[in-house]
Amino acid sequence: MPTILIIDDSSFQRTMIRKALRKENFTCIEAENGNIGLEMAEKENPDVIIVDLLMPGLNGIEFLKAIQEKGITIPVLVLTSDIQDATRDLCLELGARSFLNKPLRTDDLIPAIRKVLPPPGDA
Amino acid sequence: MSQHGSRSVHTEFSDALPVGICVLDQELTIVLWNRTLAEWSGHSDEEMIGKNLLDRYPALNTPVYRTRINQVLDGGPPAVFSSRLHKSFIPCKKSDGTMRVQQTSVIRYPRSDPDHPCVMIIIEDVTDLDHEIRSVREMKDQALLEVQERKRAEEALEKLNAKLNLLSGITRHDILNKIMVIDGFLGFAEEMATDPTQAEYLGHVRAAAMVIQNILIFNRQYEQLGIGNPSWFAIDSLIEEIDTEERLPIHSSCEGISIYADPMLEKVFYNLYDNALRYAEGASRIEITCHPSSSGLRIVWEDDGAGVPEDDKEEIFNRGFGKNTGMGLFLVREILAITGITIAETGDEGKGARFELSVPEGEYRIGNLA
Amino acid sequence: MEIDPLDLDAIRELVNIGVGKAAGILSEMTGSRIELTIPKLSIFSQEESGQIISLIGSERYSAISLNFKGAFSGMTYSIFPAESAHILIDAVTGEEPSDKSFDRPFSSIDTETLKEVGNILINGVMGSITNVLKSQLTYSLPTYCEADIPALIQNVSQEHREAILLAETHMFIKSLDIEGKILIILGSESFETLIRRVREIQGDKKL
Repeated sequence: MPTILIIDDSSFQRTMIRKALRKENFTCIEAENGNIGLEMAEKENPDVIIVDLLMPGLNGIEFLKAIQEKGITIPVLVLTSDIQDATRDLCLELGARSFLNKPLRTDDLIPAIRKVLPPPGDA
Repeated sequence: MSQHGSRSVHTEFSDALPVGICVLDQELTIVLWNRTLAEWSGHSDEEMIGKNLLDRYPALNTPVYRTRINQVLDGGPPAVFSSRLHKSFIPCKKSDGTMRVQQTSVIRYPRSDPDHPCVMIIIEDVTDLDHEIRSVREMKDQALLEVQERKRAEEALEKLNAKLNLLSGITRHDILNKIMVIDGFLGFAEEMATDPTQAEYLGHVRAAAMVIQNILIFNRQYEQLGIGNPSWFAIDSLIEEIDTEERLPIHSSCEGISIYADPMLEKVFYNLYDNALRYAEGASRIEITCHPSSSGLRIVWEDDGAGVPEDDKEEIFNRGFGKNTGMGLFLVREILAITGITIAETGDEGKGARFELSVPEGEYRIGNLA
Repeated sequence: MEIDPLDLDAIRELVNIGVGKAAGILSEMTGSRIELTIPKLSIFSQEESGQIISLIGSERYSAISLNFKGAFSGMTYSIFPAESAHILIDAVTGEEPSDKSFDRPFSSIDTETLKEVGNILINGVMGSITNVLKSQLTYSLPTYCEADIPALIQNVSQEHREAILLAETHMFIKSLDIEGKILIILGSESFETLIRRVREIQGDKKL
């Protein structure tokens, strides 16, 4: 069962994502800001990371940069309320594999996750 | 939601409205295109129904339009698109070829099936209103600009005037001082002269110096002309100011009458009086009367002296005419002209001088000032 | 006013999503990137509405208002202080924002522009709320006015102004700070319905 790390300062948002992922039999771990998220990424080594942009402390953009610097190759999906093209371009440049807008749509999120997961059967 | 051959009640109703109406389903396919919109856009409903709005009008395929229309479809509040920010939602031309300026509202339209809502796009033509607002704005901006320029010009002029006045004031002051010196020493010289011819010559020189002095004094007064704002003056008050002891008495029957003139108005009556003293040979009195009429007020100043010769009636108001400075009546005319009052000499030669001042309607008042 | 922090968090997130949508649209209209900040949310009861004044001042605001009815009923305002309103108008109409006198009164063209911007913001927020909570509402057309907070609150009928949600947002266009506030004013029943929906949607999520 793949493990997904959810990083978002809103517990409401984390709950909504968690519910959607549980339906697909994903395991979820959660972090409420970028700093904790970074720690957990290193410690727990999830299969996919979903990160919000607008967070207190280490925000999503800084998180993407930090992941790159540390050489962490876990695929990151951005899920944000900011729908501007410039923001999207920036995230993709910083290595995000997908840029999704809130409100969450499972029809978009689940395929985006499956796309970056290693195919089942790989060690 | 297919279009039937017969026109539905909705279509008839929407066709009757003087605004453009377009209804879209959830895929943004056009399901209604009313007559007004067909006229304005140049596309009939047969052409448009069943087509996708964004295919037909690719300019609308941006977040500003697409996202907002979808928000309404998803159950959000109406979206408004102001004429100021959007040239046109759906380009519409007027009969003269110019584009209509539009105000557009997009509202949710549940129709009969709440699970498949539609949106209604309502386009109002605000071209005339927009033009009016723009032209008023332009006029206002233009007016403000002119006012600013005028202010600048006025300020520059005032500064220049002040400079000139200062300069001429200083010069005049210096000359007048020297004239006093000249007059003083000439006086001594005249007294000391033993030769009568010499005394006579000195007298002439002194007289000339006095004329120079009077010219300068006149200059100083003339400079004051138009500096103060015109206001209301009671004729009787001004006449009372004139010192008539042992000289010509003035009889005025202008009680309660005021006229609107330059503050130097007192000089007018003073100069007229001075004029009478100098030139009205044999005069025993001066009579002032006032005659209101539909075209204004006539003030008549007359004496019973020798009168003014026919040929001189115009001349006397010109500069340099007369034995003294020749400026007295010239100044009178100039002062009165500031508020549009005219003066003429209309007496009979031999019977006395008669000056008529014509005060325009609205520039005189009868009765007490408030 | 007492409110469960989780409920407050949920509503803040809904406002956040709404503002983000609005910023995306405004970004395209102004041709500039817009920096967003986390909105600050507070809730007041009608008796506590005086606290709002001490919080955000007693000045006059440019206000775009929207009436809504349905699953819950009330009034939403999108408000801007004069300075932010002028910056917005200049940004959206393509004029260079400057520090010209912000006391300059608004022309009818200015208020048209503000009405649309306020509309974009309100639609983002209300759209987000109804979308996520899957609630049906009907609305009036937006209107523009200039008033202070007490007047705006008074404008809502008595039974619909028992709960006042205040969201304070800052958007930065070309490093110019645009302060905007959203006021959602509801009757207590409506407010309870809103909270109930928020909790239900996190519970068993119905498709």
